[in-house]
Amino acid sequence: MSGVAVHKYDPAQAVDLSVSTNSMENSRIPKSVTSKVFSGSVWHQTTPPNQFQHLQIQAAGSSNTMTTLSQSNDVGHSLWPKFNTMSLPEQLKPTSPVRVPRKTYATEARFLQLQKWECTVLEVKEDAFTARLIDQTGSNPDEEAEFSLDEVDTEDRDLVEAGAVFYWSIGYRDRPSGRERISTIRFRRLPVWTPKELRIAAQEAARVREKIGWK
Amino acid sequence: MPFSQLEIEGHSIVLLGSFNPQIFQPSWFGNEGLIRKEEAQSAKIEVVHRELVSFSTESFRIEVFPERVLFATSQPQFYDPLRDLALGTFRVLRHTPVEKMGINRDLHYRMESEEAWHSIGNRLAPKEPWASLLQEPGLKGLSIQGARADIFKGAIIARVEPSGRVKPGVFITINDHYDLDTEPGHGADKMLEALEISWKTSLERSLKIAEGIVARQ
Repeated sequence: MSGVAVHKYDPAQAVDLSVSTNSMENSRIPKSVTSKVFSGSVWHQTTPPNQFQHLQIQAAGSSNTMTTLSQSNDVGHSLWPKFNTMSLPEQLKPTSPVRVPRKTYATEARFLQLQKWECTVLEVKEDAFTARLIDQTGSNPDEEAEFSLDEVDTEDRDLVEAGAVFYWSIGYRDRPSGRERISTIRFRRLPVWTPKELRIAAQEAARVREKIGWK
Repeated sequence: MPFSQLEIEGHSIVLLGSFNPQIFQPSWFGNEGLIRKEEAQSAKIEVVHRELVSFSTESFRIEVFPERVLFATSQPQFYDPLRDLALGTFRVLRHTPVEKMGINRDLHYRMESEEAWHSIGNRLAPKEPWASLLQEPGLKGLSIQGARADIFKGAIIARVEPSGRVKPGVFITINDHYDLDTEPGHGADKMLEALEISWKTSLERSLKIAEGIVARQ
């Protein structure tokens, strides 16, 4: 199938194309699908796809940072091709057919978030740690809480140290088997701060200090 | 049931620039400590190719083309970790040129009734101008672009459509778009700065826009 612009097509996902075609320059959208969807990184093929659906990359001309053009029945289909203006040098344009992903988001049971905190570890004990909790879902005052280390994923335990940031969410997860209440703790994983980020943080701290009149 | 209720949502960060997809493999993320090694090992790989790498972990979806990177999640408890993943990735790859960024939010709202559902379309796109031009005109999609109110260049684009997932429902996607004016040699610095500064504001703003669209009026 190499050398031919191949496109996936799902007739069930009929979405108006007029807006999108008007917004694209040098569209590669085949005329055969001018009233059909735009649901993935590529257009869907009008002929029966083969097992592996080798497809030409169509995102090459994209200069748009949206996830979707139209949701076309699925949250998280990725960018449509050639939405607007950036033109790439010829050498950057794809030539090889590759498989193209179908969805943007991982398929997961829906999580209904009830409350979320951004937390900072204050002290680590033998089998527990204390943390300051900053409510991210309301305006409740900061709290302190103690967590058992057993609550932390084994691989994250090395991250538990004073000053470490983690996110604590509680909510419901709906599964076919029923609703379950869950709590997730996720430690922040970031490489070291860059000098520029430290400079920005220092500037922000200075701004806040000035604002609150703290000498 | 309330007039409108959020039922499905997702969040993504899209970066445009110049990337080497082959770097972005689950094992690389695991080795750099950006995701847990176990999560990297159990990643569901869809494509690994020199022009496209695409895989999902239990928390994220990552898709990399030579000119585009996408980090996405559909789980609200991973929204902040999603930002950390993008920040961490490009702190490691900080010389990678990133020219544009989108912080995107997709939301499906279930409407309390067909009538409520029609009221949104009628309010956003009154049918009177179309009545003499089309039979049974209906809103299929509407994009509105607004200016940024911060220090960055770009725009905020809201798109509204009937939901294909929730019936009767409304789909809203917010593209918080940043033109980063990356200077040669500055790599991902501007993107890191914009993401760090704007993340929380962007999340709150996109939710506020969406809630405003589906509010009872």
